Amino acid sequence: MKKQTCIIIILFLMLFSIIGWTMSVNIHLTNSCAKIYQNGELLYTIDLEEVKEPYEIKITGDGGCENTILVKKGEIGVVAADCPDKVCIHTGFISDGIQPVVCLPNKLVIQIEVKYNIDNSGVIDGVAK
Amino acid sequence: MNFSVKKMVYMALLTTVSLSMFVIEQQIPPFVPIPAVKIGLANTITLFVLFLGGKWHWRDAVIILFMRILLSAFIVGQPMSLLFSAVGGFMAFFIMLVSKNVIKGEQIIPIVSIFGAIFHNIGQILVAVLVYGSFSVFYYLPVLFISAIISGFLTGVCVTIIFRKQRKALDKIRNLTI
Repeated sequence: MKKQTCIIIILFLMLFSIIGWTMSVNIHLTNSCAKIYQNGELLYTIDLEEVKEPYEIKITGDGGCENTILVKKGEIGVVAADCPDKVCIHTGFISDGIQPVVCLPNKLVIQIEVKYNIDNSGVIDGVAK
Repeated sequence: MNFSVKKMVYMALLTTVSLSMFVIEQQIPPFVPIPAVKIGLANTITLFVLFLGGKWHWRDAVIILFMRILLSAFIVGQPMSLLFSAVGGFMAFFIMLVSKNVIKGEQIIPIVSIFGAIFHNIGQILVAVLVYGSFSVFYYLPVLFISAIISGFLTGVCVTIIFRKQRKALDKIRNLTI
């Protein structure tokens, strides 16, 4: 394989990544709810539109890390954490995109998913750009 | 395998350097709110040993990499990080070894480094999907690719510069004649 071929491959990967990222930021899920997972297990399902007053959820992980999740109307995010990198706090609040809020040391994942309709066709109906 | 004491001392030194780079990187606060975006300085040691030649074999690079992954897991203190480091590190090493022998041309170190960084991130995302059971971490793939290409290029250029200067000292290390 020639060096030039590799450079072209890398440039294409860069281009696709930039396009892919720009497109993924613009995806908005309709008819969705927030789900909080820890260690792969679903802990909470929250419909963000039906939140009247903001409230907090505290999640503790093994290793003693604690995350404080703030649930507001239409938004959810982590406001306090004692993990070392604080990436979860810096991610901010998510409302209807596909970006999750993750805390790696605490194995916590908060993501927005579409609500399933009775005939289970929610996955296709729910994505709007 | 034939290990002279000289080589073992050099390998221990390189492992220590690699480990210190890892520790220093941990202290840098994340400049983007995305997990696992880092400069990957520890990879410079792997690249250095891979491209050294002389009496140095790629097996030495594997041993140094393995020791660094093991020791860094003890430093971090979480068993999860061992899994992430190991899968990412060995996938990266595999592709770096393959591409080093397959790509023809001069100055291929940055390209090998970029491929290594890309595979390192792919490995980490695969572990994340398996452990967290959530496909949403794939969202980070585009950003991690961009960061891997940039950081892989930078570390590759650093190693290229090292090989260009310091000729005499390098030859001594290469042939273990100090």
